[in-house]
Amino acid sequence: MTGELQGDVAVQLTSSNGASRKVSLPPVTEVGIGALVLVVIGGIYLSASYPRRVSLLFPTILAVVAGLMVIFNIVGLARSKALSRATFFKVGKWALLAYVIVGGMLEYVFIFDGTRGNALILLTSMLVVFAVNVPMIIAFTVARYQDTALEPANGGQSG
Amino acid sequence: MAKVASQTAGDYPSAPASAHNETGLRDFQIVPLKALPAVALVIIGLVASIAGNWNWALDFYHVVGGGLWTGIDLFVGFVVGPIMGRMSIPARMEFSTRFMPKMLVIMPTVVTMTLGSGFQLARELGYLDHNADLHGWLIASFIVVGVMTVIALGILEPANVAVLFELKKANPNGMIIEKLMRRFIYTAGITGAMQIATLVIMTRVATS
Repeated sequence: MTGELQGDVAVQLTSSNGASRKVSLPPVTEVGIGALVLVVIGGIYLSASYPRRVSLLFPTILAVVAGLMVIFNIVGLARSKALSRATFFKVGKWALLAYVIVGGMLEYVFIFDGTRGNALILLTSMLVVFAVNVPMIIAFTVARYQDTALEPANGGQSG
Repeated sequence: MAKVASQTAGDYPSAPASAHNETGLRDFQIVPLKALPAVALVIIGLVASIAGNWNWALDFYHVVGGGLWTGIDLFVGFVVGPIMGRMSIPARMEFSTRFMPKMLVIMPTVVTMTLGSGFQLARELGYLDHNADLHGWLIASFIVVGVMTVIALGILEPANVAVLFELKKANPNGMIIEKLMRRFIYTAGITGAMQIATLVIMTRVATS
């Protein structure tokens, strides 16, 4: 395989037997990093205003846009036939476990420190976006370089 | 760093399968499972420190974690990275198979140690209050950490895992490894600048 993916573009894949084919993959990395940036900005905004009560409008907009970007990525991945799904799910499930633990720890700190109400709901939403988004980027980055020709016909979700 | 990039670009052919297999390079764990109990102990200690608001323990976690994070980042980015760029291809692959799995465990652990304890310390010491003298410095540190978080989680960690999966193959594609490793070279400057900024901010906060 040659060529770094830049958005939804054709990528040249060369398998071990030398055969070449072009595949098109969704821009998961770029969109995922964009969503991560929005969540981080929202987190910094809320942390900077802590413990004051401030308007949640700005971080809510960031969280909603980030959530939509993650959904966009999920739809793109679901529709993509060129991605190695076996590898994606194999990597994704363990990465998801790790980031659920990280997200759970952060949630624990927020609750322990007395965050309640709408602020807690917003922070939890951001953590959900974070905990889904990062494993998706990791799993996609690994899976895009795997040869789908080696996969079982059922999509290999047993990973 | 750009010099290293130009020297290695396109100079990373597929490793001979036989050599790759004979040296036992494929016999490695992408995530070293033996290290996970130690990670669990560190995290449990961190949770206990936060729950108990033990200032010494929080300070310990923050100083040790932060020192390791900054030190490892700068050392790997500006010392180990350029050395790797000048190694022969087989040596670079052998080094990577032993080095990168350990980084996959060490870095998230020290980052969690640093950030978890740091936020709690800032809260306990009153630095989060927007009237505090050091509040501006704290926000600057949040921004620095935010930049490093995006680079680490969005760019470097996925590349690290993808390189290890490629090295697990019977015939790893050197071009893929090369492309993924370039991410480390291109981001080393930003990460280095952020770590220097962290040192300035933290020493400023500590001496106020």
